[in-house]
Amino acid sequence: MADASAAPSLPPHAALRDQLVRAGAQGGQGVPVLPALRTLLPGGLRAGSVVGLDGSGAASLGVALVAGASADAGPQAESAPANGWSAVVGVPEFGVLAACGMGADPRRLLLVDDPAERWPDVVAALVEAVSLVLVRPPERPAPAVVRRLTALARKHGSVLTLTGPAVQTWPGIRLKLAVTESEWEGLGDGHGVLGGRRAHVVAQGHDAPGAGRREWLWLPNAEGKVEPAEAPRARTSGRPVLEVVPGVRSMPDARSGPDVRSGPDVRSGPDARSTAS
Amino acid sequence: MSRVLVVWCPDWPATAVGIEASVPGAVVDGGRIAACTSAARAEGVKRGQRVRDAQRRCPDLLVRPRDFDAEGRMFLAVAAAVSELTPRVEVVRPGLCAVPARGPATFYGGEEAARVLLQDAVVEAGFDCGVGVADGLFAAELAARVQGGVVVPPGGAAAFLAPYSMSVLDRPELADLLGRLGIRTLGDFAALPAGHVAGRFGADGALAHRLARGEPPRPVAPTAASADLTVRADFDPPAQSEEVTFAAKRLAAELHETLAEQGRECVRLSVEIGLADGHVLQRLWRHDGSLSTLAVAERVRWQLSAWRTDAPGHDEDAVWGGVVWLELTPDQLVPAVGSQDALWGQSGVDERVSRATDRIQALLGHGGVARPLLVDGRGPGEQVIKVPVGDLPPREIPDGPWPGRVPAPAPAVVPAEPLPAAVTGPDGAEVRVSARCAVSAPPAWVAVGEARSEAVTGWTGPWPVAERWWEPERARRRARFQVTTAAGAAYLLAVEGGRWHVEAAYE
Repeated sequence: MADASAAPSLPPHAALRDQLVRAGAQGGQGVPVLPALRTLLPGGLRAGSVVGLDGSGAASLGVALVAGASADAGPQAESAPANGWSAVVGVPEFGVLAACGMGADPRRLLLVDDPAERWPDVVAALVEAVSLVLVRPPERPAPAVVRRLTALARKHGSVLTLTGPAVQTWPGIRLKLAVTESEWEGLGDGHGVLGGRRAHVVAQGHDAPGAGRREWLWLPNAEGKVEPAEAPRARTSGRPVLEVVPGVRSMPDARSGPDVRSGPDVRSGPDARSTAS
Repeated sequence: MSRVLVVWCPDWPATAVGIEASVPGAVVDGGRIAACTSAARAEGVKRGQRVRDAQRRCPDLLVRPRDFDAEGRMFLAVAAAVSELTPRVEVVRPGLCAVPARGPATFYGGEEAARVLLQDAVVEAGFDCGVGVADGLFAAELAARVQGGVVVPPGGAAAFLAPYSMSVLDRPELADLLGRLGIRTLGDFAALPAGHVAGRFGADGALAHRLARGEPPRPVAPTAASADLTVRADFDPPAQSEEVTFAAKRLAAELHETLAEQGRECVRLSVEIGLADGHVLQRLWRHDGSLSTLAVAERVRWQLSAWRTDAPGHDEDAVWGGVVWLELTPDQLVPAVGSQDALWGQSGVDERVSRATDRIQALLGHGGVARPLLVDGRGPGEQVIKVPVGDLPPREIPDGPWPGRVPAPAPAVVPAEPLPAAVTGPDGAEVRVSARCAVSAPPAWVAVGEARSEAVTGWTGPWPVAERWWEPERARRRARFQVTTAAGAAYLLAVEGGRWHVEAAYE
């Protein structure tokens, strides 16, 4: 998915303009990211750039970037563009709770669930005001819209983060983030609780030169945070593949459903019985 | 005491319907004479007479029905003639207008000169009139009614008024009672002690007493009443709904500020919208002090759109033609008990962000942009409330313990509506969960929506949740599962009433 086409060619003046913008941005005070992502994205996200999120882990990556941008922005919080606000446009299923679990401040988050065809205007209004806009554009945005929004983001120093199918066609994406491999931990066969996920995150594009940077991360870990993870020792044989064993009923395991433990035994509880009869 | 100049046009209702002063004519309202010309008066026609009686006294009396619109319309010509010479014309009623006398008196070289000049101007415009100057409107009106009009010198109002009969106060009951007490002129009435008049005749009697003494009951120049909290916007040319909504927001901010200054809260808000075709849309909105400026604007928008959809034919412009004015009136006021909204209200939003949200709300409507509020709950979707920017959070936030809460980590994808799913066992039959939470077969395949089935690599559950079992209408019984699939996805599934849903995905 993340191949050579991840860095599409730009007209030469765009590159020059980028350099000027870079030079003018006081050494590139970027939009902050979560500490665990700093090895992947040193210096944070470049202010005014366009970031694409790709693949199956795009939702979690989007949540993590929003969390990083709207986490406590520190003393420079008042200075544009890093005012610590972020906005989510056209992603009604955005996991606010997950973002807060990763450290986002819900008081500095704006949600525009259903902008419909007005999404370019909404994004244009937001890039002037917030550090990071996460947006899912329709599949083929009009070239004029793409140019306008890219220019506005560059002008105001806001990071435009794209998700959804438009990532493949949007020109001028400076950075693509994708989860190439991932595995969840904690679930057994009828027991356990979903814990963390070990994810191999790849950053590619102008802002991650060369072959890109790769990192294993807990995205998220069992507490919902993002943390660096060590690579699985031998991924092919490291973890036995779970197989469905026929005939096994759900086992009353102490680990199954931690909050069920605290209550009375629900399986023979009063309301269960009444419904059965 | 302000000097007032009054322009009075005699028998205005008759003039307005086009009856010449030299012709005996009368204007009738409700079967009685409302006004008549001087020629008719000479024949014995009087105001308040029945038409029959008037016609008996004056057989060739020209009778016309009263036309209030024409009175108002035509008097604007008089007011225009007056305002050619001096600004700040206040139309007291059709037939009578007043201006503060000081300015024109200084400019035109004395009150008498100004009086004559104004009289000539109005007569030139084609209307008979009298112009008087005195202290206060009441005395000035009587001065204008004196043949041709006079100037009552400053401080001379009481002396000027003294010989007039009590009937000029236009309070028949008071005049009748005082007449029986032997008080027949304003001078006699003015000589009574003010306190006793107020004690015996109340506020209205005290007002009449002040008039009789030549004191002002009210200032001539229009000033806003301080107790009136109504805010109003006028639109010229008529505005469309978007513009009206913005004006409403501004008005609401104004209103909230005034109310806050007075330490009061508005419980009910009356919104009146005047349309170009003369319709007035009036509606009361419950306010409870929790409506933000944007929420007020939204209600105005609702009111407008309700009118449009009600209108026959849905032909917007033809029917409603735009809004010409908008008025917000706090309907019921209560002392503010101090709800603290600075922690969450607009003050927490920085300037640029609030500008951006304003623009989005203009594009998408008030609910278009929201801020999340974390609350307690069991499922990941229940723990987030989306509050439109500008609104205060709901007051009744559920409080737990929450047995059966889904543990961390929280899912990254929480659809607003759970997606239907199909969960099948190794034998291909749908997995069922009994009332005792026994699972018919371990889940082996999960298909979300229309997508292809994914093999289950790990699962846990069921975690039963019985919510609001004490309230049969709102009770819900669910069992939740977490599954991971071979494709690397993890889902939070719920089965309710035999149907499987994806509540969230840990994508």
